[in-house]
Amino acid sequence: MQGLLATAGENLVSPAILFFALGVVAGLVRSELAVPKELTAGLSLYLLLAIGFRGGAELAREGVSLAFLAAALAGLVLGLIVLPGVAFAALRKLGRVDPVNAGAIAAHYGSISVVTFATASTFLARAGVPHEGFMTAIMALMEAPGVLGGILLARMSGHQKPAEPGRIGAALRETLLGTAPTLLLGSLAIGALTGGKGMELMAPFLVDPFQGVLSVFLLDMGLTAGRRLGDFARMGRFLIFFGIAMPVLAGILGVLVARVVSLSVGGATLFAVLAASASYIAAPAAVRLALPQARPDLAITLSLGITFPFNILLGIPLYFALAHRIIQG
Amino acid sequence: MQEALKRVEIVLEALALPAALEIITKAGATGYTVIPQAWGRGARGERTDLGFSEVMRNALIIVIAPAGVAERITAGMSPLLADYAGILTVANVESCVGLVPGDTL
Repeated sequence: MQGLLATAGENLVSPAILFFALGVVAGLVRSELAVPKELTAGLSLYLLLAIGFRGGAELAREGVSLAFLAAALAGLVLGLIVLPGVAFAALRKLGRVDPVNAGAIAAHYGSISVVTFATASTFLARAGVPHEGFMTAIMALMEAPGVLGGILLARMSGHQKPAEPGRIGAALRETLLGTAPTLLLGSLAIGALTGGKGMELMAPFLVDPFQGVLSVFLLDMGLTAGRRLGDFARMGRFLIFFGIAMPVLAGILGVLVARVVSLSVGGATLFAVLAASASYIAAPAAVRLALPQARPDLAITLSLGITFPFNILLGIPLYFALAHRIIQG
Repeated sequence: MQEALKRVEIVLEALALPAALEIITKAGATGYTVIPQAWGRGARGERTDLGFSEVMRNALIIVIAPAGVAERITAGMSPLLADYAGILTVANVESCVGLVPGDTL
């Protein structure tokens, strides 16, 4: 317990996390601090490119192994079926959320958050804990299936208007060919193709500035989350509970699955972060296209306003401690 | 006499923009203007650009078109506006300087 508190405390004093906290506070007190939206859009492109490229280079260094394939398969099953299924069931049965909104929210929780993953990687690097290089590729693989899983659950629950086949197609297009997945997967491929040489060339652009860019991006995320805190009151207690309980449950599940596929402590921490994180870039757009009757503000406030801050501030050290105990203990 | 001109103004969720422009073109409009970033407050609460996602962003479309085209746009847009955030208004154009809809260079 003391070790957990120490890691959580250490996590809290990293610059990127403190900038996030600054954003939340500034948003709460309605400070005039604002990050231009065009800059945020640009920074998110940089983050996707940097994360994808570095993941690709690491994949090239390690090669495709059996361990990678096992983790990839586990990630796909978790993302497509288990996570959206658990989220959907909890929302329907415990929260009495209507099927369309339950499916929409489940899609967000089935998918992953690239920035949470990047923050967790930074956390591991600071703690000096190594992880499998293929984890970025696993992350890229887990972005789309969860979105699809949630959308299908909403559709199968039969409370939808007569089927409009174009809608699923548009959503599928968005999850595979939207800005985020295209750049992430494309950079991963370029990183894998150019390997160590490419990484050497790109390092001054991709490695050193990364923490600074992540800090500015997290500052803006904090501002958005802080300004949205007022929306919680209208969401009801169950959804707030869900926004914290779901990532904890998914994180535990993630560590257990990671143990089955023999990931290291670092790899298991990242796998748990992937399971626990909820999407707020790729999923909202795809869900909006496939399930226009769902309220977009509900899912985005949950994933961005509750789950994201929870994971960034407390979730990551918690999953690390769990991974440590279950994998090494 | 030339058909009366209408000004169709549509505030719309940015994500539905491609679908809307297709409806407008199919309705026979020869042009339109899009202001891609708009924010505001309405029945769905505050809608503002998040920067990293277009889901909460609005766009503004302005179309100057003959009354018949404006009617077709209104009819075509109503299913879209049932699902997505937005509002469509049609107003009379009293005068129009520049290339009038239908003109070609």
